[in-house]
Amino acid sequence: MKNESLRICEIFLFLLVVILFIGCGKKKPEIKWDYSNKDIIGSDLGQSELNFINLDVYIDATTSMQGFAVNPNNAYNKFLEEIETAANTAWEKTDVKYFKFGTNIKRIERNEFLRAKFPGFYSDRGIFEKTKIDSVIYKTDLSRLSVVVTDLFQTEGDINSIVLQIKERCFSKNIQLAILGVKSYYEGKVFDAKVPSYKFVSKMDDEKTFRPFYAIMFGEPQNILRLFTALKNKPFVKEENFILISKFLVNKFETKLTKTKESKSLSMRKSEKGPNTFEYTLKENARGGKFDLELSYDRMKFTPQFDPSLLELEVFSKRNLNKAKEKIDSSYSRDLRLIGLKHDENKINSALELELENEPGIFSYRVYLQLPAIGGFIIPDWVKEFSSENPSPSKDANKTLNLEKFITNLIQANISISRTKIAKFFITIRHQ
Amino acid sequence: MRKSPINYLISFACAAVLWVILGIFIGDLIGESITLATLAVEEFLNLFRIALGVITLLSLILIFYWLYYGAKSSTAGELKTAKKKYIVLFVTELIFAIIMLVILVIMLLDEGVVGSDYALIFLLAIVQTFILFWVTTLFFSPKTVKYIPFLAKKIF
Repeated sequence: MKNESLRICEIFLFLLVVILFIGCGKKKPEIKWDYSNKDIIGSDLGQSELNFINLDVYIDATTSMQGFAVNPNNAYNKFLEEIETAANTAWEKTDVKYFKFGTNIKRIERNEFLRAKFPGFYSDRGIFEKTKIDSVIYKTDLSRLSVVVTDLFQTEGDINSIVLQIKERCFSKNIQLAILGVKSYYEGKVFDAKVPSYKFVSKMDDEKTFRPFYAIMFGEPQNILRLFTALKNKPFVKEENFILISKFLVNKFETKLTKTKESKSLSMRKSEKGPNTFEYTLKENARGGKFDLELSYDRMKFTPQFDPSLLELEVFSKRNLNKAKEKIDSSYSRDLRLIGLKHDENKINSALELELENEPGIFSYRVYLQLPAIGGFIIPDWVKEFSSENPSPSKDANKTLNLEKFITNLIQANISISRTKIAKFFITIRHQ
Repeated sequence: MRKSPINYLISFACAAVLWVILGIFIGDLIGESITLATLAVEEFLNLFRIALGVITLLSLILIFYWLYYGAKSSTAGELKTAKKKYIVLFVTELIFAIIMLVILVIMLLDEGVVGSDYALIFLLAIVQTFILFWVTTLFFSPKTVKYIPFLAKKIF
């Protein structure tokens, strides 16, 4: 009886030792990334910022703009009235400053701003001679929303210079930009052309003869959109004539990664790291496998359309090899390839092929889906319609010189600061 | 060790320890080697551990019934009946293992699990059912039915 009890106790003790031995194995430390999506969808404004806005309104006070001020009931004058109203509607508190600019910038009071509806406003010496938008660009600030009302360039050479300044002064400092085109009755002199300046008069009852002016908005995308939302209810503001040039193209996205049935060396693991993270085990001596990638996204409204078939992968990897004493930090990787991308509205499907070195360890990848450096965007139709390469009295008289080139160059300049990404996900492979 | 309630407690402890070893540790090893088409390994392991836990409980119910039946004073006068009962319980344990395997096969039909993995799962189910039943009844049966479990006469 006693021997029996002793034997049973010995068995229990042995089992306990076995359990402890198996349970207390040495594990490799986990690989960590920054899993937030702020580099794809931006960050929210704090509550206090949402209720207050600092707004700077710059009015182009050069001679050509005088042509918009001849008719008190035209879209231009109504737009000027509406800017302040829209800001007061969109935010609880506003601090609005007014400026007139041309050759120089001059701060003006509200009562002088109200005189912008009359031709006399556009005759100040030292201002009316030349449209120098670059001087306004230098004034932009992320803490303020700036609205520049202008009919755009005086000379073709201005385009490249202004785009460069916007790139250095705005895009590189996260100040984003939007352009609203508004057509208005015009009766004045057009200067931004390759031909000598010419007189142009719209037909009152024919909107096709109206000449566009532009509200160029500089600031945080959320503030720009908020102001535009308040403006777009007006009949002279058309939603389709608005473009937001932002480094963020999507409001949200979701990825789903599953292995193909043929990839028998891969086993899916549950990831505890949150959405858009995936974990797999790869069997010993296997070199990789294939995945099916599904991406659904919400494109940020008013940003230019992009061609999903041109999307590219950018992959960075971190490795923690069993043989290596230290883990290998983040480096550009070619272990993953995108194959056969298909798109349908806001959904993208593709196969992803993985091939990695035959070394046991942990391989972790941060994968971006991004647009190419050149040519990924589609210029909106309204830009092409408003633009002309050579406006003259006989042809395209009311169109804006090289508007399409300007906006294309702006989009390109924005991409050159940081490649526009529409999704990000993480794959961790435990290679046995 | 054959007296109540010690034999009940030790039987329960054996079942629990065995579940931990088979379900957690051996289960992790299965998780490392099994290939699944769409299910995550963790989800498979949850399924496996729950199934193993259910048959452990069922197995314990039969073990406790045997310990209760063997402790009854009337059992001493009907040992032949007791032996038959023992065999029925033993076979029922085997059926539990088979049912667990069948349920898992049905649930994992689309996952492409290979035969060798199912064989291993069945082996673990056998250990958790009639092997557990046999070992606990061999060592912890009440004195009246001490020699009924298989090989009891040879060992004791």
